[in-house]
Amino acid sequence: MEDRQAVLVVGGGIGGVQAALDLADSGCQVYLVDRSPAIGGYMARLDKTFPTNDCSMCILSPKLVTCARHPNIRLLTITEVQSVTGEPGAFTVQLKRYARSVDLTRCTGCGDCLEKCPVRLPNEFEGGFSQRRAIYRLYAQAVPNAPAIDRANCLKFTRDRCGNCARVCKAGAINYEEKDEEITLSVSSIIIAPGSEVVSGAVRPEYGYGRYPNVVTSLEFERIMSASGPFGGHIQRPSDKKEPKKIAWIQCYGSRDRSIGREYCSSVCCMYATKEAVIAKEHSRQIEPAVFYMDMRAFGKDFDRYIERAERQYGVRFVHARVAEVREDPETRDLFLRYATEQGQRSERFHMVVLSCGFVPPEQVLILNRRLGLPLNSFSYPEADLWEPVRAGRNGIFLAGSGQGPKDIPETVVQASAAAVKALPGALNYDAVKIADVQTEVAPMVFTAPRIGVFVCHCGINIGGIVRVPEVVELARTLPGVVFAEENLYSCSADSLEKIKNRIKEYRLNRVVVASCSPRTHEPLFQATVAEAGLNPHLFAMTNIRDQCSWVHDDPDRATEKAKELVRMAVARVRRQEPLVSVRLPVTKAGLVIGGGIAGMASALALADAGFDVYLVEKEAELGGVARTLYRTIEGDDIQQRLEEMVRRVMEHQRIKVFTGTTVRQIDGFVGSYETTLSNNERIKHGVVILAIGARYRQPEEFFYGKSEQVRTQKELEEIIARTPERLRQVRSVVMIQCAGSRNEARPYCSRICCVEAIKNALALKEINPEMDVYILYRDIRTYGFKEDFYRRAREKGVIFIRYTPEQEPMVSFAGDRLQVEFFEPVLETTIKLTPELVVLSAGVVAQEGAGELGKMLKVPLHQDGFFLEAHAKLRPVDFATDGVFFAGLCHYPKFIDETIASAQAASARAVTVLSRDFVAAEPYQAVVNPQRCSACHMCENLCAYRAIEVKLVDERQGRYAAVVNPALCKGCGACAANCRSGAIDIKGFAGENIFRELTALFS
Amino acid sequence: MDGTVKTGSRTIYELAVPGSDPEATLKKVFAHWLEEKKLDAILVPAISKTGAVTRSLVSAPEKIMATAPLLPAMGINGAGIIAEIAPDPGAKSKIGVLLRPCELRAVVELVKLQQVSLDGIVLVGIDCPGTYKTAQFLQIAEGASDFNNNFIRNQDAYTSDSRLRHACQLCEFPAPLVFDIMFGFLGMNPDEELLVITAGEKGAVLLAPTFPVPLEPRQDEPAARVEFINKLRRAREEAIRTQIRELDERLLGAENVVRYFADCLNCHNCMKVCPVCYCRECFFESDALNRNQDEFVRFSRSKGMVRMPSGTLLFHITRMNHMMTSCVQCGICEDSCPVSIGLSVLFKKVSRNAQNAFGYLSGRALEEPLPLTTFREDEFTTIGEG
Repeated sequence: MEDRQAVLVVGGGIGGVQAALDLADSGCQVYLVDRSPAIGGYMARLDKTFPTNDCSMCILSPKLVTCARHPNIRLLTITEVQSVTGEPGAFTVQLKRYARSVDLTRCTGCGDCLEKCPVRLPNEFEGGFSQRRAIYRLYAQAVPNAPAIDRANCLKFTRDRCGNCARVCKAGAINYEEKDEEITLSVSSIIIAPGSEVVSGAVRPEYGYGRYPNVVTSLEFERIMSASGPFGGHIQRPSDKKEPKKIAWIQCYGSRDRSIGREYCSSVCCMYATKEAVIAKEHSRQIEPAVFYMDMRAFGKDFDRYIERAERQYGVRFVHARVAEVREDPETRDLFLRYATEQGQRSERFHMVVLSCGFVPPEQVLILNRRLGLPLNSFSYPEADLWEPVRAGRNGIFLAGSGQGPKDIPETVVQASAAAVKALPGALNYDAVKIADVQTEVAPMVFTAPRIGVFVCHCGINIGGIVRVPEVVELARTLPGVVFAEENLYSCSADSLEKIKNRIKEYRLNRVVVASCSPRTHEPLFQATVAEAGLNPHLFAMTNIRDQCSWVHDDPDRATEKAKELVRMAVARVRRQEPLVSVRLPVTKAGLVIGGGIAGMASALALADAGFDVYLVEKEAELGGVARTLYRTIEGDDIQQRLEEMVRRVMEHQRIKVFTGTTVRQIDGFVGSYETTLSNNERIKHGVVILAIGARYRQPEEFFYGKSEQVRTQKELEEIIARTPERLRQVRSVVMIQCAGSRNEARPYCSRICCVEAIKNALALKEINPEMDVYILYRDIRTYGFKEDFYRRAREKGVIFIRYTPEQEPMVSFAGDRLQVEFFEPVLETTIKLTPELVVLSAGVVAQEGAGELGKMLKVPLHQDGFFLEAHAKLRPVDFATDGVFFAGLCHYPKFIDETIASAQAASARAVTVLSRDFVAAEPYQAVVNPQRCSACHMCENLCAYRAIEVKLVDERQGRYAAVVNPALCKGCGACAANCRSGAIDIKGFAGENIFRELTALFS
Repeated sequence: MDGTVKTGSRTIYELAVPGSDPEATLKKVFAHWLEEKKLDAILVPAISKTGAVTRSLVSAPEKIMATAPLLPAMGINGAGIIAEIAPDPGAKSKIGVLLRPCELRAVVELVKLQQVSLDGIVLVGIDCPGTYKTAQFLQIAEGASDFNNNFIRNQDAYTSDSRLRHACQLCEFPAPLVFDIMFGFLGMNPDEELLVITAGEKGAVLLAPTFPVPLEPRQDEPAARVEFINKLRRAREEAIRTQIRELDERLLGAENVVRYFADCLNCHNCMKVCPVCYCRECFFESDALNRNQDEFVRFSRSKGMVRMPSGTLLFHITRMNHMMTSCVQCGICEDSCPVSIGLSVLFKKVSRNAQNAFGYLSGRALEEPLPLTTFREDEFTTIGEG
């Protein structure tokens, strides 16, 4: 039974981790397999992430640890898939688990063995800039935290000598005898998320990688910048450890390069190179970054703004040029870049060069694909259908992440969630499955004297490098109520968490303080740990001695003093803390999907296939949305035919109830129990909402559009091509203008799809009449990923691409009744006039009307461009900050059909994590009103963004009014409490009195 | 900052003053309102039988004669009394309240803070050249005949009397801003005429169908009055500037802020008499801030010695933080302070700065939302000391 409900996830990068978590949170048993000794993948190696500049490890690490701790997830590291047999619903998987030589159940992660290993090897994780031992931990925060022995280099295995690690291991965890293990699993479905490899630095010898030490790959540069990297976060060049002043990024290294057989665009390099340039500049204002690029492909949400900021605010120089060669000055080891701009040849000296390396499917993926018998596309990536973007070529097997094609983190996360909902076992019985819920029951707290335990974290050298942690621990031991205090190298590592649990039991602790990093990323983890040890998770306080102490101070004496004060305060706070219980709210096991386009239908189908009732509301008379007016994808799919199939599936699905010609009038309630009134006055009850209201093609106002029949949009051209191609047979010349009314001040974003639409139409025109002159005037051609291939084909077919800058926009005019286009040709450095019969505008995509209204109804925010705003740009791309509300498709940002469907399925996956439960737990940090103090001034009511507090008559006899909180809606944000002059409102867990206690500790 | 108000349906009249006795004229009007049942009662300043300055809620017309509508003394801010009388929107009776400009402004703030409902209240405003502290008034007026009338007859002299309450000497709003009906005399000869302005229906009904004193409609306020008020405001603005400058010098540096409040007894009088301090129970009177003996000792050890009573500065700063957007600078807090902490000028400065920052003026208009209840994306974009 249990096995039939299990899913195998191959690959422990962010994609695999997200898929595993979504499945596990839906009640599914998950096996998460990774070849490495630790999960985390590439994301663990990145320094920061664009466009928010969040620290990569900081946002990833909690997910990794949650994975490791999740009762429904079993981690299998250093493990490979050998074979898969059977059918969907009943696969048999053979795994080979290689010996770690370290017993995971015994290892405490203390690291003593690492110290004593005499072998020195280049540390691949750190780009070889530092060394590791033969027994090693992949990275400091590795999950699992236990090291592994690299048998190929270990003296014990190569020469039967040494044995140091076993000697020093106090836990007796080293096991040289461990054998590789064959594991057989029965699973219902399989998700493969193996990631990509970055291209080897040596593919283009003319750039000197390997020969010139100061030429590094982009991934190596991530480590160079990283605070946990080989240089401790100080940017320096490998040759002389000096800070470089001028750094050049060379784009498209190993991408868009036919000569090395990689014709596709790697999609992420423009953004990460810009990010690296910005972060480098943040490290040191002295650094002068320059990015050499072909097209700046900032096609994602807020990406153009990021580029703009990089240029304007950080002074990053963007050079539109192909670099021909890099040469080294052997004296200084500086590098000369020879490059060709539109204005001719240049040579320039740099101190360091970063190669923006593209993605390739790694050898292992190819092997995996062969073992699973999956068809590959011409780029050696697994083939996927646009309409089933996460389904592999074999039933029951799903794909996620960059192993399926180049993509960034949010798209990987989207695909991962989508794969999760598709992989949900058909036989999954939600009632029977166990869902991890650490805060189920709370034992009533019998008052006993506080017995506080304090754990002070080194965070590697992050804290310990400045703050003298042992001194802080000493101080903690003297504080009232503290019965135990100790230090941890990494408090968040799996072994430290285990240790904290043991200490709680051993010392009968009833309050816990962790002095470490940000509660934002780590508090839930520590709370869950405390809860697992039987304590109420709110009898816990965290204080941030890293971000707010060691990271911002460089005087160890004073930083140590400050850390002590912070710990003193946390102890004073926790002493008074009381156990909190989450209110449990029942879940109506149905979903409302608003919008019946491709996104809405895909969401509805995924949710319904997962076993939940769906109400699908569409304002038009028919399902289909904007896709009803589209004809072909650039890949050649017949959109109308596929759409028809989709509509039929939706209409025939027993679990989907469709309301066409209907809008949503009012939505009441909250996660788990919404009640919605439709425009036909029907009232429906549901537990989640998915917004899939799409977007609109913009009607242009520029370039005589609407005033002349000869000026059309790409969409109109597509319709002519599809319906009346004969009208185009006589046309001799067409000019297409990209970014018409886009990427400007009014709409400072890229609409993502227009370049491909233009090329699709240009190819079709060439098909109709190969003699036709087709010009595409563009700013950057953004045919990312495999779509780059169509750009190449268009050039081969003779479509003429001419670049323009916003300073020199093309001009459309009429010479008599002749349409005339005038533009500057940058290579010839001259203005050219054309008299085409047709001017076609790529006018962009704008946010849907009514988004704001729906947003207000559900209290979810809009992004400044009018699209909805996700909870987190990287890791929560289809979630809102408000629980129970998700969104999909173009109301997030312009997307292609496959991306739309993936995001729709992802939203459903996230929704299933709610609907699969019988109850959701409300926020334990709730506002509470003391009606005796409340003066009923209504200030709180005016300020509450969630409309969770209201002044009501509380005592009819005395006519007394006071504020009353709705626990289901309250998010515990504290706006009311902060503004309550009467001190009548407290946030549970943050009571004013406790905060005063904390301050008293500081000022006493 | 000016005192411009949304002038809904304001109507201006000139009121004759029979017998050249303005105070008696007002009493006559009030008695008439009670007789005609236009009001069930009216709150008017009065001198009690024992000679204390107080207010009376009069319902019997004949008792009006015992009141003193022009009494130039202020022991408390009348808004506090309104809060005591009128928290309930369901009142069936209707009372008039004769209030000075600063008192009216405080009522407006209390309305916005939902502490007062105006449903059964008619705001009767009156010009105010300034007031004395109670004891001071009794001393000045002792033996003088017809002092109240003389006070407004000699406006020029009295508006600049250095014996006026400190806050009154710094008052830039001598005329009511929000009212249902108001009586004015500034810049006019009160022996001949008084000004009556009604704002809206609630005030207008008080003038019809009968009125005990001749009433003539006017186009505008008398030019002399406008000029007088402007001149007075200019003079007082000058005084405000000078005193704030002196205050700034006195308060420079954290130690001087501490010194400013050093004499505080922690009696909380300032909070208790403040008309807009509206909490049912002051946080500072709760036990949230209590320390035990050991904590006091540790507190003392941190510096070797600490000032007792403790927490007074926190109290004042918190009160300032809570009240600065609604403060009408009536200065009753300073009058009530046993150790004469200079709260009037301090709150003048702090409230002005805070209210200016939000483009807000306390008590200016009922429609103006409280600063903290509104959000504009483009405000306060500078972070730190920009």
